[in-house]
Amino acid sequence: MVNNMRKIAIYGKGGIGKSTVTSSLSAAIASMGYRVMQIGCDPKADSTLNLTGGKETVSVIQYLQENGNCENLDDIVNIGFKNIVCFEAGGPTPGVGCAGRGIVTTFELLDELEAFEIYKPDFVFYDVLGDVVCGGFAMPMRNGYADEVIIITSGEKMAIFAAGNIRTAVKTFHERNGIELLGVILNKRNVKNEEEIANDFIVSSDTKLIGTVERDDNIQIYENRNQTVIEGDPTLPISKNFMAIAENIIGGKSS
Amino acid sequence: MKGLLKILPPLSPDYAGASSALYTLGGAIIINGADGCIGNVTGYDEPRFFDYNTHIYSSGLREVKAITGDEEILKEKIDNSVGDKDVSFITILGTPNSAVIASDHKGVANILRRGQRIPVFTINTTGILTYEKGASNAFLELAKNFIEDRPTGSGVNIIGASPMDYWGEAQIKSIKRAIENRGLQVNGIWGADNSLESIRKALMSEVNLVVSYSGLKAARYMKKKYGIPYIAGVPAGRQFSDHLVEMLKSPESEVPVVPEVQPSTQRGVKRALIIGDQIWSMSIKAYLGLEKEITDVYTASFFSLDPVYRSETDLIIDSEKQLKQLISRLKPDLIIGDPLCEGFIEKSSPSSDIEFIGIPHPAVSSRLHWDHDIVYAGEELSF
Repeated sequence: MVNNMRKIAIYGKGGIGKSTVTSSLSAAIASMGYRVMQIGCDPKADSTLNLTGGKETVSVIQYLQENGNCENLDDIVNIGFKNIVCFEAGGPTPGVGCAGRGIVTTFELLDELEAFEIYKPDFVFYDVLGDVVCGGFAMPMRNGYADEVIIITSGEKMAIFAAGNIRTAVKTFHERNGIELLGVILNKRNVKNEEEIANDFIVSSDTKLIGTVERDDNIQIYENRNQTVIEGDPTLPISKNFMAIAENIIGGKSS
Repeated sequence: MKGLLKILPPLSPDYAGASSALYTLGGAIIINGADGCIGNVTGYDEPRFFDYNTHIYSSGLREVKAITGDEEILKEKIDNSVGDKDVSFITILGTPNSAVIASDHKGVANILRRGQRIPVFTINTTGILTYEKGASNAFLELAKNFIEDRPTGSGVNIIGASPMDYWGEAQIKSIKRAIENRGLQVNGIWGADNSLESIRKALMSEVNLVVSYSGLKAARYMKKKYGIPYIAGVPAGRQFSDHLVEMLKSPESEVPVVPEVQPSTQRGVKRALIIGDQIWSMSIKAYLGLEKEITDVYTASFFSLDPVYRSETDLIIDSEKQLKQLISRLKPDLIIGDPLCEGFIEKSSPSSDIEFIGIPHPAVSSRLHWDHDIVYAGEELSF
């Protein structure tokens, strides 16, 4: 394994904005000169679209389904904005198969093809579907994959509930593998007393706030162009905010 | 239907291959699956089960345990099974059940390791792949966990010699004799030895001989980490044994370069097809050329082929139908393969003139033929 590589899994309730925030953070950190890899862990295989200008990445599971096996990283990688290395796990058609197993298979293949040794990223972001629903979706927390977890939540009740489940999973895996909860990013939905609700969760979880993302129409505008705001206009306040959160992540190694 | 086996039994799975590589080394082998998986290993895949006392256990991962994914149970079960028994390591192997629920074997091993003075390691098996994948990873883990830093001496380690390939006691003796008669000492035989000593002392040998696909990963690891070179091949017949041992004495290439042979005009056999493990098939191909003057030889395998050793006449077969079509297309005069492969020869067609030599491959025919006494390695082959 490559030394000094930081591997961070991003978890949160479905629809909370994980892919948007993760891609923006990848773009921000890559803009600072770091080598970044983003691995989408969602059957929809759309985590990295805003990094690749909308060019779809052939998902690992799709490739395996069509070709039987994969012997070359070039067949499944997409190099995006600022040379961010993009992979998508992909998965089954909704309603059939096992998406969790798809993530396991993807990680094992990336290991076998020595993706980390070849690309030598400084930061790896795992953008994980939903909260921790089974062993497969916990894969990024398992030994040798992520070392740190960031929870993205709003102040909505179900988002906080999902965040609690993730915190429980981190505790379980901390005992085995030493994984740490790096902190929480509050992605605001304009819920009443949102910051207070989030703060209660953060305090009860004995963790910290890494940053707050305000609602901003520019995110949507640039997403429609398959870009992050960092790529679209780095001078915007929302872009500067993501840069500041990225700085916090870079400076805030959990262990 | 691709993958449907009508003539052959199910091919041995990866966890059985891993077990085979470790079976006699004094460790505790934990198979995390429903009890049927251990039944496959002990009843059908492991010839030594009947004569050799090994600590091999099943976790009994059945429905409710699988749904809840409570891995504390796995840890407790291992603690209870192994207890204070004198074992040299603990290893956890995965099965389809544990693979589908993504059991965290590495995490469980991390916890177990805290209370143990012996190595605890996992081998990534799923029961979905075939035996050679599991055996490869098991030999690799042996290399990673047990090799001790020692000054280089002389002699050779044989790597990948588990009985799941072809390597029963008689064949191992023949291989060893062929090498030692040519002045090179055999120090260790990975897959057949009864203790970890030969693994620990592996660096005292100056070269490794890889006798099956399963041994390649460990040999490559040792070359990269310790600089110990390796050659892949099985001594098969006098001439190829001469050639192979010469290469072991001055290993410049990992692939045995076989001297060119002119095809014979005397014998009836013009074309041969060998079905089996890649490294063994490659060696028998060399034997046929050097001693039988049969040079038009194809090989085919249901199992993995390493690209370094693969030529355009080495073929992967992924179904029985494909093998039948291959035989029909190639029209070989001679087929060498597991005895069950004779079932692919159409008796009512002109191909019924095909000469067939059955060489038991336990990963294919299990206990049906593993007692056959045909010699298919060493200086004097039975065919």
